[in-house]
Amino acid sequence: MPTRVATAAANGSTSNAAHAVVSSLREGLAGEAPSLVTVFASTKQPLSELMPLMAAAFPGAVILGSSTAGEFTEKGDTKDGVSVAAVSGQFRVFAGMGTGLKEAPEKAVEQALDGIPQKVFGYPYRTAILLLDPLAGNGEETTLLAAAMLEEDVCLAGGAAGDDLKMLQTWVGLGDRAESNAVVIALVFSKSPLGVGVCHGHTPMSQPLRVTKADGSLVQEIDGKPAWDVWRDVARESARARGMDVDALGPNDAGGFLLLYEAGLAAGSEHKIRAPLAPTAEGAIQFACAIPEGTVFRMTESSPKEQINSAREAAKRAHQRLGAKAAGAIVFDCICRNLILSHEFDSAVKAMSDELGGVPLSGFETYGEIALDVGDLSGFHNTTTVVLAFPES
Amino acid sequence: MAVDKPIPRARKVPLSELVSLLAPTLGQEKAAEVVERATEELAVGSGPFDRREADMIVDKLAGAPSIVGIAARIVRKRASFTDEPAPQSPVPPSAASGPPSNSPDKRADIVNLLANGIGKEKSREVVEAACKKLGVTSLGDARTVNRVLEELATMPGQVGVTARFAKARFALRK
Repeated sequence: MPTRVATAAANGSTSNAAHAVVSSLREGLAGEAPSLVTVFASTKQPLSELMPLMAAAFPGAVILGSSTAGEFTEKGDTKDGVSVAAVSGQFRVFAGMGTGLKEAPEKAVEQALDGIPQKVFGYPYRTAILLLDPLAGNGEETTLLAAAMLEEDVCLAGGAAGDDLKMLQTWVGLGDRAESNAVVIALVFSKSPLGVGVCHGHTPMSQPLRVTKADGSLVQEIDGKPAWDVWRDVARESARARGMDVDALGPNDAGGFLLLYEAGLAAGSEHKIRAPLAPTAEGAIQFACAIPEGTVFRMTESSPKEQINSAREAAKRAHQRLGAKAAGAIVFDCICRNLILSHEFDSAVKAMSDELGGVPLSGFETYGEIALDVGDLSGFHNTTTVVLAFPES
Repeated sequence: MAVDKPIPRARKVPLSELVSLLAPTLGQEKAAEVVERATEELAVGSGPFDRREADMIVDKLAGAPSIVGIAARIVRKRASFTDEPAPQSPVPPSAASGPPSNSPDKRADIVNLLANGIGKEKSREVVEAACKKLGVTSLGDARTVNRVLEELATMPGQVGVTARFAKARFALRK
């Protein structure tokens, strides 16, 4: 049975958007029943209202959901809307949700994995999809805990939910349910491997900086000074060149500014990027995962060209990993790409689709991306594109 | 015809390899700091380390709170200090995943080894609890079995004593 991936996007009220995307998916699936449906929705279509509508429309499928900072399909960017994908073919999908992620990530991951089978006869390949609430502040820990509890041959892909850069509350969904402070894990069993590709386009722009005071994911001081002051000082000139005055940032601008200038941790010849999410009133910065005291990093930046190239490269890697023709893809793309590219963002989406042979894809703009392949020892990324490609058969 | 299984080569693990395994999560500098501190506390010198010493360092770090401990746990789960060093691809990953390992699960063997001291039911219960605590889903290789036995060996009373005995027995059987 060949794989079929249908995608759709819509705007408007929750019920109107749901009605529109369900009709499009049914048409795209041409009568096939999907085993997996992904629902990525802006804060204008609350996930708590949308998930029950999608679950009712596709009762036999595993429905995964996430709130977003932007949505897209192969046709382009969809702000304030809903982007969905439905996948049918030779797959078996199981999923669970864990709550209380901030307080007890290990327990939440255990809860999400409880009841998911480790093996399904006849489907030797396993890929996990993780969706998590990044405002819990432990994206890396959650990803590593999931990797530790899954077997070594399981690849992970996924994303951290967004909330249109409000940085107030993000949601993940499973079936007819949506929760904050939660993680959703799905295990996709397949007859041939799925393709996971990841790439970022950021380069260091500062001297090494040391975190001198931190508590979990809250970085209070860098080189002995308030973190927010250091961030603005280091990025001041670069931001000015982008037309941004770091000393006049409004409360709604800080998140976008921070996502343009992220922290790069040296890891071999490359840099692992960590996302600062929001400043606090005390001058600290909240990150998407823990940053221990003593961590040394360099502030990073990126150009539009690098952003388009890295999106294309991620899709290329996913396609190579697939080793076959792609039927479609789900994409987890950092919100920073949209901030940097602005109206050119569609070029990045088109580059990804082109690399995969012009196939349908659905994705959302995240506050963090997850990609952990066999042999990898870290899986939570920032500023990257993660492409999860499905084989044609 | 019986086929000889290749014996893993003993090799020395340089400190820089331990650092590079943790760097994808902690960054190079923080990884170096925590590894060096662990080697000082364990008084194992600055390397290269034999496999037992490397395991001790990773185990010590795995007991640390916060993200350092979690990063070390994933190293313990996914890295091996036998044979050649695992190739590291910091960011991005592109290696292929394969079908699940076919190594036979040694869970029943461990339960039987412990059963002599604490009975089969209790033995099964503590093995399952240790696997859950360590995030172990398959006991297909000796390293994982050792980790579970080491975990059980830290327990008080009869379980710990039996596990230490079972660990020695298991080592002799390899």
